[in-house]
Amino acid sequence: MSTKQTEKRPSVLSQLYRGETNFQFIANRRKFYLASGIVIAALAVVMVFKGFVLGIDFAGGVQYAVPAASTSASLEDVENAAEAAGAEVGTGQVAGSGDGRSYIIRVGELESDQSTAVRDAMAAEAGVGADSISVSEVSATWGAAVSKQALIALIVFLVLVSAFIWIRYERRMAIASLGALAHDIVITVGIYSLVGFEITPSTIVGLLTILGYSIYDTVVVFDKVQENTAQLLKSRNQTFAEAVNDAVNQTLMRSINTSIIGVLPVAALLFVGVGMLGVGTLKDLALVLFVGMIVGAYSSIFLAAPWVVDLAERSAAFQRHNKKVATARAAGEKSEKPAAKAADDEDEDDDRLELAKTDDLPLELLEEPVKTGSAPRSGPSRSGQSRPNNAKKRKRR
Amino acid sequence: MCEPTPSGPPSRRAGARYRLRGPHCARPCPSSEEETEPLASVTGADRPRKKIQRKRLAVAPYFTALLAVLAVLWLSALAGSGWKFPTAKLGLDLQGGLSMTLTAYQQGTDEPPSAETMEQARQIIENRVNSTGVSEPEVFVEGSENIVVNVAGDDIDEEALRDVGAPAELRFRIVTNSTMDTSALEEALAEETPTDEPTDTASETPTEESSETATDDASADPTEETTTEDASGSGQAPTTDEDVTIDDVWAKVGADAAATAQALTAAPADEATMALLEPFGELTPEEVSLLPANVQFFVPQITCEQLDNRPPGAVQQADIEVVACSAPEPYSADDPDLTVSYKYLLQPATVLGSDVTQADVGTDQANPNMFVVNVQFSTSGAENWGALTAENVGSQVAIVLDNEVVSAPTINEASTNSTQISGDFTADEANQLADQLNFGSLPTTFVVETINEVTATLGVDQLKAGMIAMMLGLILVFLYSMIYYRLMGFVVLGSLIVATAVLYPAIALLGSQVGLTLTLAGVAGFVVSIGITADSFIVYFERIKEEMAGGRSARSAIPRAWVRARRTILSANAISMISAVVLYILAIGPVRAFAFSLGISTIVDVMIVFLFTHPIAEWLSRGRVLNSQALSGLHTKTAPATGDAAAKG
Repeated sequence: MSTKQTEKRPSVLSQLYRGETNFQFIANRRKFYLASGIVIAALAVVMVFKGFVLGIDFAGGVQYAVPAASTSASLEDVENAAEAAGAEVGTGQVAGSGDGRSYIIRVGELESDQSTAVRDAMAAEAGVGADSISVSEVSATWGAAVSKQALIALIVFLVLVSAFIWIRYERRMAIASLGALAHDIVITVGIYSLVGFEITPSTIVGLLTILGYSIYDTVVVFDKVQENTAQLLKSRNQTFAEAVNDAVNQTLMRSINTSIIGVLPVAALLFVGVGMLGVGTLKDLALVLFVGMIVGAYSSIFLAAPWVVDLAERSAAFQRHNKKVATARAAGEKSEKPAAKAADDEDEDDDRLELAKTDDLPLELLEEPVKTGSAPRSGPSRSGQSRPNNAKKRKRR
Repeated sequence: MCEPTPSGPPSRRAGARYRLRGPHCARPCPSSEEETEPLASVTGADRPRKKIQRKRLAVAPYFTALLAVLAVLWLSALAGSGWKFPTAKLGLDLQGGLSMTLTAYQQGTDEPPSAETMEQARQIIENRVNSTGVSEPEVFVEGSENIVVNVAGDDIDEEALRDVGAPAELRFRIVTNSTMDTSALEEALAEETPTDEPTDTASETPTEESSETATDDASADPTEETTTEDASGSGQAPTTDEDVTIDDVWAKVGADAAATAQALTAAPADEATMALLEPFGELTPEEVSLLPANVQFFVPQITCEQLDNRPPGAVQQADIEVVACSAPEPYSADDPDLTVSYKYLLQPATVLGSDVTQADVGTDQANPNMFVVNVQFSTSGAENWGALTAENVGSQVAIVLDNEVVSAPTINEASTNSTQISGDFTADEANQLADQLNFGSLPTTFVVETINEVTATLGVDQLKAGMIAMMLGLILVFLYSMIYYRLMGFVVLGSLIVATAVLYPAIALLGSQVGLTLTLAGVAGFVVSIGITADSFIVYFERIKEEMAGGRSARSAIPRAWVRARRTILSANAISMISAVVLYILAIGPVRAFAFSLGISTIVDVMIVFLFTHPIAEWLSRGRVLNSQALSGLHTKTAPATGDAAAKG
């Protein structure tokens, strides 16, 4: 079995599936920083010069949904009817199709009696009852009020989440995840400006949800990073950067899956929101989530983990450790075969298990007949003996 | 919460089961064979093994717990819905109806009103909504300063509902001066100028305060004293968000006009002054509200239209002088389009709406065709009212509601604990006034922020769209996990189905018990959370895969993977939970429903992973399925061809 497989390197997809990829995320991090930097700078320019398309909630006004499934009147006819009734038509669009087809017409702020008049006029034009026209009226301050609350929520959320990550993981990770978050927000918002998607309170809420999701994604990666690096300083096999790179590679498939599984329902939502309803909460939420989740997946792999490395390498402890590793390697003469390295990696992986923060589960529950001979797993030497066996075998195939 | 203590009869039984199945399981997995061998050589002869085996996870308690949770939820949901199939309470955007958000408009401060104030306001608004005759309105406080009114159905009088947030801050104020505002008339007549300057009406008692500084009405140069005296008047100005100050307004009209206006003690008659005061006609209602009362009153260019549109509560402050207009009334009987209003300069109020205990409509005994409103005062109110009427017999007392003088009857005699307001009320007007008095004054003023009216048809469409999105999301996620995890895809599907089975009665129960409504945003939240829920399984399965890649059999990999995956899942869900809770507590608008869905899904997700996914994986690992490469989708140590196929899928 082993001989046959050494000849043929599995394809990238297959490697991905097995979590055996060895992309150099960390080594190439400056390229990713640069790429993100350029994108952000470009989007910043767009944001400054192009601005945003603000929805009715920010400008104030009235939105009418006129059912248009069985009317001969065109959108323009209905708009003209509204104009004639004294409304200042902002935008008009056709939403949905078939039975759900309707004209969405937005007009500026109106007095309440005017609003009724406009509604009646449009109903007459479209040949439907005034009762079948949905009206949504928003004051100019509503959008601002929602945004203000959202901003407060954002700040509270950031504080809580930073505290959580700090306590649960470490300070560096808290900083890096906040950085990744800022990156996600700026890019998402920038894309909104670039494409000219309309910003509504739902968008802002969606944006807040992305924060949660982005952090969620990042946490999955950090979790593995923490595992892989918990015992790092005690060994001399790997630098911190290498350990993190391994972690990112090992969780790569998980990250990709997480993102795909997250995006799939959002895509369904977007499809339905745009295809069936045309406008409204569903579309706004789904769109911002769709954009944000993809950006979030990128940042958790390409930015958050590398930032942790950058931050870590500034500390004296890790610099010393890097030197030690270098010396050890130089002294070890033996060429650093990836296989051997990986084996050591596995080794550590095992030692660490009992030290991981939440490993409070009675070990017996693990039901590890193989291991029981070596009794308490805290004996690193014992497990060390058995594990490399497997790992090497695997890698050498 | 869900870790069973590894002791007691269930685990012993499990141990027995293990002995039966153990060998059976090791055989069919070809991949595990080679690594069990060397490993077994380390531990092979170990007898303590048996002891460990007994500690293996007993899955039965988990499933029992899950079934218990399901049973309790469904039973209570059924009970809650009167033993019919429980249905979730649909929001207005899914069933049609009107939803209105009112925001408290606090004068002069950015502080949100206190919780008690809001609750009091909510009750008053609820009463008013009920009085408009709609069925089962729902009125609740959202956030710190919003009150949401939800009314289901299509048949809604939007106009009437709009007014439920009106302050109805009733004030009884003695009229010190009044004048006719003919601006509406002028507008209507358009071409011809009004016959003469505003004519004074009935009571022309000049105000004591402003007459003190009486100078000639034509005097163009103001004295400084007037400005100082006016300071009290400008105190009434509610600070609006635009941060316009009185100085800005003076600057806008020009220094000369400002000076002239402040010096006025009667309406100006000469052309020059009129021309000078012209800029006052251009002021916005907000700016007008900042002006001192005597300027508002005496400058004829300030129309009742401007005064009526001042921000809510502009004349609410009781202890200052204010200006208010009466409702427009026909100028002459033959042309109802020509209307005039009366502009009143009013004294500080000593009797307030809260002094009123009861009001009802009656007819005038002397004249049965005239409607009157009988008002009862509280003990303290009666004292104030008595003092007010005793001092001002013969004067007019204006009943000021919102920014408008509802009625300005003349005080015929002193009265104390009850009084009768007579005027030119129609039956409706009298009823309205009585209602507003009865339902009390809102402790703060409200403005309508949003009105959302959704027709039943659109509601159904939106509900359908939401359901389709949910089904589509579930199918996509299931297909993906089927392709990727093969058999384990069914575990994902099973978990999602169980999650739905838990969520549905929970929502129905919350709907019937605490009035939780399922809105479109909420549905969106559930759709989004499908991904987050399924993701917990991904984390777990990837972890199992990793363990199995390390050479373990499914049987041994699964518990190990669980220990590690569990902390990742808990951390990640904690983040989701934080974001949901923060959004729910702090955000306003439809967001909260979205946050609520996310939050409840996260809780259910954790429950499902602990009570269903993990035990089922554990249980499956004892059979042969998961150890079969072709089925489990967890093996990575397969021949490259299979691996590729799996990965491509």
